Amino acid sequence: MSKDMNLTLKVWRQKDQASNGKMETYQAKKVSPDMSFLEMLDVVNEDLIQKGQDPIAFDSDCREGICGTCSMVVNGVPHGPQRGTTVCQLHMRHFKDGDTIAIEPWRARPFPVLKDLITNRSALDRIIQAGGYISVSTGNAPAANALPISKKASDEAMDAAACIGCGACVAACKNASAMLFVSAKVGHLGLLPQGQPERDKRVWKMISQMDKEGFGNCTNTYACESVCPKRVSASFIARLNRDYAVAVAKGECDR
Amino acid sequence: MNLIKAIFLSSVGRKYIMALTGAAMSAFVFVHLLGNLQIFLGADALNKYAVLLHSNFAILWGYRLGLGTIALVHIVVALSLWLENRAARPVKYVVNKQPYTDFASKMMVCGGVAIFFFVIWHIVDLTCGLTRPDVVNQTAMLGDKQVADVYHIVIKGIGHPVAGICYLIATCCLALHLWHGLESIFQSLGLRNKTYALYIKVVTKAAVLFLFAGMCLIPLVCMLGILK
Repeated sequence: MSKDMNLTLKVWRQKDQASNGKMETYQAKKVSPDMSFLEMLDVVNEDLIQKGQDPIAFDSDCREGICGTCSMVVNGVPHGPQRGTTVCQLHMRHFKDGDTIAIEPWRARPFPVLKDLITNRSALDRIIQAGGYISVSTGNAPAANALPISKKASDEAMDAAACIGCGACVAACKNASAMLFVSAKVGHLGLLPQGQPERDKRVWKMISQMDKEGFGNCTNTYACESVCPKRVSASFIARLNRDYAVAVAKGECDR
Repeated sequence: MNLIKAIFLSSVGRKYIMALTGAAMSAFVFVHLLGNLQIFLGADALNKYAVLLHSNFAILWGYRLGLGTIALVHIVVALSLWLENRAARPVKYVVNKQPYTDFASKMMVCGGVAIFFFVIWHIVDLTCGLTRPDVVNQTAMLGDKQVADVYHIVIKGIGHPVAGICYLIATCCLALHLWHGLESIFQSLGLRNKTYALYIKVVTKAAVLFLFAGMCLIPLVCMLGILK
């Protein structure tokens, strides 16, 4: 039976988008090592509510590591020290009794803080709206094997499709670049036959929207793939760079 | 107009420019080193090489102006990217540790600025001979012709302890810059995938280590008086 822990939390508190925030210190007492990080925050919040204080606002939804809603920077690392998981799947056994844990929201100009640890990540949605789709004629669903796809292409497309759009890549990048996110979306559709008709238009539109949102530029540090909870590879960024060159060379920018 | 925007104003387009101009300057640096390593073949070999480089006015100046333009584009585009990158995160992290980002990639801007000032001094000092005319105005006989004694210019110019240490520091900056930059060229131009990634890494890092060793060797032998 593992022992309960007492932790010191330093949490970013910000009333709303217009206010200035600051780090506040809280004590998390009797934390079970089996709790998830978010459950630990739930317990701290219960305590705050009982004291009549404003609970710490944070995003969460599925709490099983697949939705990409939870988003916090734990001790300077998006989603915390454990690689390949979201923060809801980070368990308290990765910390020691007496540890001080700093918790901050994603930091990027296109991700304004709405309250405490909650940021507005609509910028990623607007990039998807710009070109992260395929256009299909409606009708009956086609037969499953009507479009042959190689195992290699479908596997690689699946690796890119694993992106849950959480924005950790942006949060980790020293330039707040969204290239891993965009490359995953462009790569996922660009590897499949259904994505071919709009392939050039897609990369042109999505990069243009990404630039418009005010993200930084990729300097190939690969911090993004290291913090990605779905381990999306930065080689998709190289693929995106290649696709953009082809799209520009074909004159996509004048269409 | 849109084409110009797509290349010179987009994030990805400017990375192509950084990669291509960086590749051109890297190629120059390697050729420069290989040429200078002829110092170990003796005075006549290096002086003959210097005569060859200066033999055609049009090629020499075409080359100098071309390389200067490339360097200028590299610097201007780098500054524009750097300003945008800073603006993209107006509020810094309190625990600002930039996780999983290696030292070389964090030093690109600082190292680049240091290299810029070193190159200015290097050109003013040894190419133009403005700071130390006594060092640069040495001549020697090559066959029956009087030529610039580049061999002794290098030994005296770089062998001076202060100058030699500046060369060693600049070499460290350049090697660190290329440690990240050379490998990055392939990623920015989209010429990298999981199959090639390891080969690109090994070959580019080996090339940088060779460059570092060679560029440290010349000032060291000049300063220690091994070559006279």
